[in-house]
Amino acid sequence: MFNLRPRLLYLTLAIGTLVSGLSYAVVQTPQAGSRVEVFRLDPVHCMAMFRVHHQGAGQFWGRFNDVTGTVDYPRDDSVAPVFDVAVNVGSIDTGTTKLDRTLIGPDFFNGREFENITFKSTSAERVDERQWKVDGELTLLGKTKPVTAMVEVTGVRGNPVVAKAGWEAIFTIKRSDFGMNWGVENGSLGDEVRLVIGLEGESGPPAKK
Amino acid sequence: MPIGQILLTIGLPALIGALFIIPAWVLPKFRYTAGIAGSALGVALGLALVVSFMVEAGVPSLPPAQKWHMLPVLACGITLLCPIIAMVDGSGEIGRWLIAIGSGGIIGWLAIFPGMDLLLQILLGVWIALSFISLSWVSHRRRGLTVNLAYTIVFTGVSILCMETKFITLTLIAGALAATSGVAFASALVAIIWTRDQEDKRRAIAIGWGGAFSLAAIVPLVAFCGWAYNLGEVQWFHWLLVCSAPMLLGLFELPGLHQLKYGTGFVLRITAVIIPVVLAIILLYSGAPLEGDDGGYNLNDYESAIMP
Repeated sequence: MFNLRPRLLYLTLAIGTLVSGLSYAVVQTPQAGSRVEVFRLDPVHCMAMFRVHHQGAGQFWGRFNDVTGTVDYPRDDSVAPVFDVAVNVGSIDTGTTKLDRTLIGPDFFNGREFENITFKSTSAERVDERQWKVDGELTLLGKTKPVTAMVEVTGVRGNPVVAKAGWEAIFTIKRSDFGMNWGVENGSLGDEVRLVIGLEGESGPPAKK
Repeated sequence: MPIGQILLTIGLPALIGALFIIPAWVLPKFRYTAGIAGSALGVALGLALVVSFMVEAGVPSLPPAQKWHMLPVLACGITLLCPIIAMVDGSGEIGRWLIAIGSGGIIGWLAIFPGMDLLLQILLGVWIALSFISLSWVSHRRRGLTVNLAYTIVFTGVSILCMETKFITLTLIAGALAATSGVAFASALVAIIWTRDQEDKRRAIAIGWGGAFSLAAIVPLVAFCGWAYNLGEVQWFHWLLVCSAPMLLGLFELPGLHQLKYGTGFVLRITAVIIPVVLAIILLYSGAPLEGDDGGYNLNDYESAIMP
């Protein structure tokens, strides 16, 4: 008697292997396409770090943990990423609670009045493969000023339906331009602040909570 | 924070204040002119606020870029109004009430700090009005020594509260106001020791309606500002205890108490002011401290948080 079961099993295994292999190939090399997708930023994997010169001595680092927004970007890097990012002032984290509160306070970020720091890109210029010079408008303490960020696309990974992409933006501002003057005049805190923004976003349908 | 910066922010306003207060209260040429002697403290305090703000935060813009930047703008107005109010000193109850209602109404309308609704604006206005009525009354009965020492203590208390709200600039502004009040106290002391009035008595000069107006406006303004931006453990009752302490001076002008001997009366009045200030500070520091200094944020803060 001819037994169908082992053959069916082998066939199923073969199809399964083929599908898995194809899926793996798709995941490793994202489908090239110039379609611009909207990547929603994932607050868990995004951060904004800032560096300021403290009392003319060391460079002090702090970070904001709550970064949200979107990046419009095609996976093939054919068009510049378009950023619309908000950083929640209340998520500041220096490692010291008391210092965090001072920085959220009116002497610095004034979180009571200005909940977010925002960046919206306005134009961009390609520097190299996956590297862009992005011009945009930074709003801090209610003042909007143009800034230029050097952006590196740190990676894109996904399948035809959903993808993850990452960007790292570095730029420097003068905080006094935005009215954050405390310590500038006497040099207790530097005026120039370097910002390093690490972003990761996901395209496709929104994840279920 | 560099010590030089603290000295500049607190010392410079006090020095400028001294340039107004000392001549006005010590030199016989000025001390009997109500418009000068009665406005010196008010002008000195208003300028102290403006100068200390400018040293710390720069020149304020108009309209103010941030809500708390309204403080130096209002202080400029207070400084300019002080000589006018000092000149109408003693114009009677109608003048007193008009100034009280006018100043309370205008400042309460203009000073909108975060979290302040109409009710709180009215409360600020009423506080300023009542403070002026009380202080203008006391200022006629009590010479500069008591009132100035009382306000040196109060502004020192306010500075401690501001420090605990994590508001550096306001801490230094309150420090500058305390130092200026201290200069006024010292000037009053000098006036008592080295000068004699028209009746050949050793007397300090009264703060006048100008001084009363400035104190009545600045103390509640600084308190509301500190309360609005509090990021520490300072509660409303800490502000109330410290900032309403000078109102107790009014109690000692009631019949039965105002006839105390000078030394006894002075000690009792100052003790009455110190007690609520010290009580507020004890309550503040004996309360729950800030959570540990480990910093960082809790992943639970974000509903969507998932571990990688």
